[in-house]
Amino acid sequence: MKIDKAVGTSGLAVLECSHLVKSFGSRKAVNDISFQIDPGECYGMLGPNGAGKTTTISIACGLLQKDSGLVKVNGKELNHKSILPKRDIGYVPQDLALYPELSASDNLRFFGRLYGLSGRELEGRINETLETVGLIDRRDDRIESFSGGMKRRANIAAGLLHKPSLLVLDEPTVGVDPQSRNAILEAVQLLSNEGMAVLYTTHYMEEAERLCDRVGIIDKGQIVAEGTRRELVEQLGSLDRIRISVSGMHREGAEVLRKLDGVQEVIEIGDEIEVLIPQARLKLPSVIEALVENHLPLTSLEVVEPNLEAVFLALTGRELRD
Amino acid sequence: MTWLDFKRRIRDKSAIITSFIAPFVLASILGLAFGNAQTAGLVRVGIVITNPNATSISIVNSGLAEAALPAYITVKRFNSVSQINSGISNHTIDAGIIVPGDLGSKSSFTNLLKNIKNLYSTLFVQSSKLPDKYSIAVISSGSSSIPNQVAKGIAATIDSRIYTGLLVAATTEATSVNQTKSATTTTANSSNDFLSLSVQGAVTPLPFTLKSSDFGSGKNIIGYFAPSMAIVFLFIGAGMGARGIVAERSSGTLTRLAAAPVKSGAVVVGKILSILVLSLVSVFLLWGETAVIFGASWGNPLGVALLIVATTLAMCGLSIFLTSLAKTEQQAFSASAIVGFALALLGGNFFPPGSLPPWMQTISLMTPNGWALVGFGRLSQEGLGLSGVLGPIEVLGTIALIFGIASLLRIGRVVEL
Ligand SMILES: Nc1ncnc2c1ncn2[C@@H]1O[C@H](COP(=O)(O)OP(=O)(O)OP(=O)(O)O)[C@@H](O)[C@H]1O
Ligand SMILES: [Mg+2]
Repeated sequence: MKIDKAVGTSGLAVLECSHLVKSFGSRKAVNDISFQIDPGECYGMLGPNGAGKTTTISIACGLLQKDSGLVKVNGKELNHKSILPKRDIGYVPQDLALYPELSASDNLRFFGRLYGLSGRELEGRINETLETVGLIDRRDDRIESFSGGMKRRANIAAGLLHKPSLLVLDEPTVGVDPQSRNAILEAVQLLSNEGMAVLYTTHYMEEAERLCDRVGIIDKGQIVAEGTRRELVEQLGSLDRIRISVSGMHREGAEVLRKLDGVQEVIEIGDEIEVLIPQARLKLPSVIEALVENHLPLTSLEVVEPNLEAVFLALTGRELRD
Repeated sequence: MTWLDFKRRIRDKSAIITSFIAPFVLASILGLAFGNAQTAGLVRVGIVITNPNATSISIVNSGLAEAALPAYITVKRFNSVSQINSGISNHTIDAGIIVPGDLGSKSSFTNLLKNIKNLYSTLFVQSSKLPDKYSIAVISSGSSSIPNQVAKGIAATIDSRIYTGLLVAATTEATSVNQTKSATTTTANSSNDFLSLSVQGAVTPLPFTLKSSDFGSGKNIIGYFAPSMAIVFLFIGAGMGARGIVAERSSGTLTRLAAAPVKSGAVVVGKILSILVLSLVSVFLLWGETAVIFGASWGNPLGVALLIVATTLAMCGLSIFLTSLAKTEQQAFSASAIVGFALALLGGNFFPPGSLPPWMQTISLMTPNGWALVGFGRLSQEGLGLSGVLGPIEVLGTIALIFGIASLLRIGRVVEL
């Protein structure tokens, strides 16, 4: 969490999305989404699979035609036919989007030219971006020879080349080893600290918590909550979470716990039970007692501090991760 | 954009095989199967008629016409035997043919007639029975046997004209003798009549041509099969390239192109250009390779160059359009393979020139490759120049225009997400 950074001082938003709507057939993938990102701000879009993150981003980057709504980039309207406003955006697609049979530098050269870079400036930027993502020593190796994490990093480099004022990253750490993941997060943090605005989608709440100044929680095509981590967590009020495992008997366990005094909500997640309850630590003995009385085999019990995951859970009744 | 796309394609092994290796290998195999590749190469033959007269000149002319020499054999006429000899020692010609001047004169035919009449009764004509003094001499430097063989072949064709004339005359005489026997009067069996009949027979072209002899006589068959195979792989190669555009959609790079500040039209044109460039390079390279390795001649260079361009545009246009109709890469692959081979079979790409039965020739002209083959056949086999292939070029150009526009429109839609 960065609190030492001045955000939104210029007054003009880097990205402004208002009332975006997009349907695929009868399914509303994006259903009236509005948000804005200020200069230098890192905005996290947190949501489960199929929430509409990629669709929202595709509209914001002018890849996809929207049904209605408005997108403005640095004050200029952008749609799927725009050309100039796209220069301000560095887009890093969710899926790898590089030519595997070309080297990292050839790929960057290709995409750099599309953004009007050339000559010495282009070569310089290629080296700088590869440096940023930690791939400078693999500069001339083919992408197909890269590990999954390295490919992801090269994918990010391609979005950074032209020094965009807004960097858009669509779940850049999915399926990445911890080392590469850390490298990616550090690179994004660095760029953000240097003043680049970032739109970062993820379904890992730790990433959103670590990187983002502000988070929008998205579910079923709508932003269900938005704010800083603190603001969001405060929405939970004074509720705590207790996570309980009763091997194989979570259904029965949930039944018992629902009847317990003070319990606000009981949610079954896989084999586990989550209990939302005020002042969890004080209530622990009665929780354990109730389970033991009903001959439920308690195998683990944990009090979870409020975090974005808890916010999501409270708002949607579901977990972020499947 | 085009260049990087091109670079990308030539790093793809299957593109290399399809565009560069396969057409060369197949053209070589077919060329070796149907022709005698070893006789290929530029052969210059000199010919002289000692003391020529009208009859001997017309016999030689009709003999040369009958030989239907391929483009890589050139025949030059000389005025004296010494000119032929110096030509061979200067290496301005590779072999010489000396035709005796009294060929076709009364005495030569009368002498021959004695032999022929005997032979005719047994219906056998053998060149070894020719009196020596009438045989046509062939000279060559001796170091290279191919020009010598070619010159011998030409001499034999001229020889055969004389025999043909004699046979015609003898047949006419024999028939008229049978007819007049019953009619008591004797026809003026003068040798003058027989001579004029013989000469007439010798200079009249045969009412039929022996197609099969085209191959044995070292026709320029690779010069035909090379462009023929190039056409087939043009289609398949362009299909692969266009499939790459469909693939970019699934691989995600197309989204990156869509995110870039460029018009989607520029993206499409860049990609199509890279397909065309690779196709053109592959055909021109094959032209060079077959010329260097096999000495094959594709014919008039300007005609070949223009026909290559027209053919490439037409085949690529059709192939790209077909691919753009496909919804998936797999579909695109099957479509271009099936249509490619159907076109190759119908157009006659796997058959030697002129070997298609008439009904198949008609069908082949419904395919662009059929038209291209007509053009390449005219250039390499008939030795025609640019004017001889303007028709096919026009047809191919029209096909290219129609499918080029159609595929631009289609692919434009594929690129838009
Ligand atoms: N091209 C499309 N055609 C039809 N439906 C689509 C298309 N793209 C997305 N959808 C649907 O729209 C909804 C939102 O999808 P989207 O890709 O935006 O989700 P996401 O939040 O990015 O999910 P994930 O975390 O899995 O990437 C999903 O229900 C998806 O099935
Ligand atoms: Mg997504």
